[in-house]
Amino acid sequence: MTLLLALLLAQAPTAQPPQPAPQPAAQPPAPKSAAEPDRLANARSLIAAGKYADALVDLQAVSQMYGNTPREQAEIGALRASALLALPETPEHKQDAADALVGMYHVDPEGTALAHATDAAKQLAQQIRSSRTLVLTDRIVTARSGRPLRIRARLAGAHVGEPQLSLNYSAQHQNEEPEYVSIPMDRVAAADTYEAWLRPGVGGVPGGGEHLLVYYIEALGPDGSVLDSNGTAKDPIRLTLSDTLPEAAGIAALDEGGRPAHPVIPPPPTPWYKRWGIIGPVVGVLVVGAVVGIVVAQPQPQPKNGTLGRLDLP
Amino acid sequence: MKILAALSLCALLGGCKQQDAAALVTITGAFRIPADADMLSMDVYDGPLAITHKDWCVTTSASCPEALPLQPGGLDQTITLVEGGGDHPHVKINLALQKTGVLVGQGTNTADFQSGTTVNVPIVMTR
Repeated sequence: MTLLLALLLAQAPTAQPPQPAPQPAAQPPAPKSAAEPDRLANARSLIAAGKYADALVDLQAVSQMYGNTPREQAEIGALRASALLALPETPEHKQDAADALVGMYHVDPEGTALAHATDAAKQLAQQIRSSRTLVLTDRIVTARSGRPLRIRARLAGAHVGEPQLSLNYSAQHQNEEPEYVSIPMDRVAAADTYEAWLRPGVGGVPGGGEHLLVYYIEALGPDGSVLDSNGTAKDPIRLTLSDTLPEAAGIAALDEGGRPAHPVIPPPPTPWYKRWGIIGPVVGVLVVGAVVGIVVAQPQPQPKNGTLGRLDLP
Repeated sequence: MKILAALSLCALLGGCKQQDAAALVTITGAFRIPADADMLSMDVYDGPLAITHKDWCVTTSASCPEALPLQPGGLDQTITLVEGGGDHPHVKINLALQKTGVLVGQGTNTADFQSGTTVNVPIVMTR
């Protein structure tokens, strides 16, 4: 019975992406609760124990939960591929496993989640990485609002010719289907790296405040075919624009001039006592005071005393 | 550079300071000290007002602490009068010589103080 259910679930991912949660507005998933068992850890244990079909059931349940972190999404993909590749080999299983691994790379460009995968999954991941085009981007969930945003992506794997990357974004409003604006991404100096800027108040980008920005990045081949898409219109990357969230204050990764690995810490403001507007007058007063003091302290010339001395008149 | 300018300013301003107005009173006369006189007294007047008095004695005492130097060849001394804070631009100086309490000689002159300078006021003591 369990095997039958697992086989049924294994067919599903061709129509439904494995890891990212669906949008809450259209299809609200169940939030995690403290009392809920850790089904991801359970799936990990089941795979280690060779119970791949049971693991797929848990992984399917976990992937539909709302609020999975990118790290959890990547691990779900790696474990799902591991379980599928351990089932009796069919073209569908292999295709689903490949899709799961591509999804893993989309949220985990370095593939660190493969540490939990089986050797078969690692081998397939290596094959994917070298044989097909992957659009990789560092997903950041929060950024400062009202500042220019730089979205960067890079191409990995094999590709023929010069693919064109496009950034499709939408500032989402509640209960509305996002209407995406598509802009081409410019190639930068680094190899196979592209970027696009979103400027506040331009092209539908919010000028400030709290907003949810959804986007996905597509790589199109010379013939216009989609080579890969990191995020999709139905399941986009979600980025919160905020000027109040603590994480937003420290993230400069997408800000103009910022670099992902090195948040820019603005220099502290000059203390009031070090400003020239204060130092200048104070130094001036001190110099003038010193000059006046020296002048006042100069001894007054005295007339020469007589042989009988000197007599000061009162 | 700033320090140099400040010091120059100090020197400039310091150089502008003037001495008080003063008078160098030169006292001469045919009086041998102590043979002919043993005490010299000075009174300074601003009009009718006596503004200061001072004595010099050959033999100093509590009432006459200032010494009158011995001058067997004749009296020849100087005293510097300084017009300090007081406003006495024109004064009269009276000098008297005594011998054992007896007046033996006198001399007088006036002095007009001038700001920043020392004027000479000669007084010849006569019997």
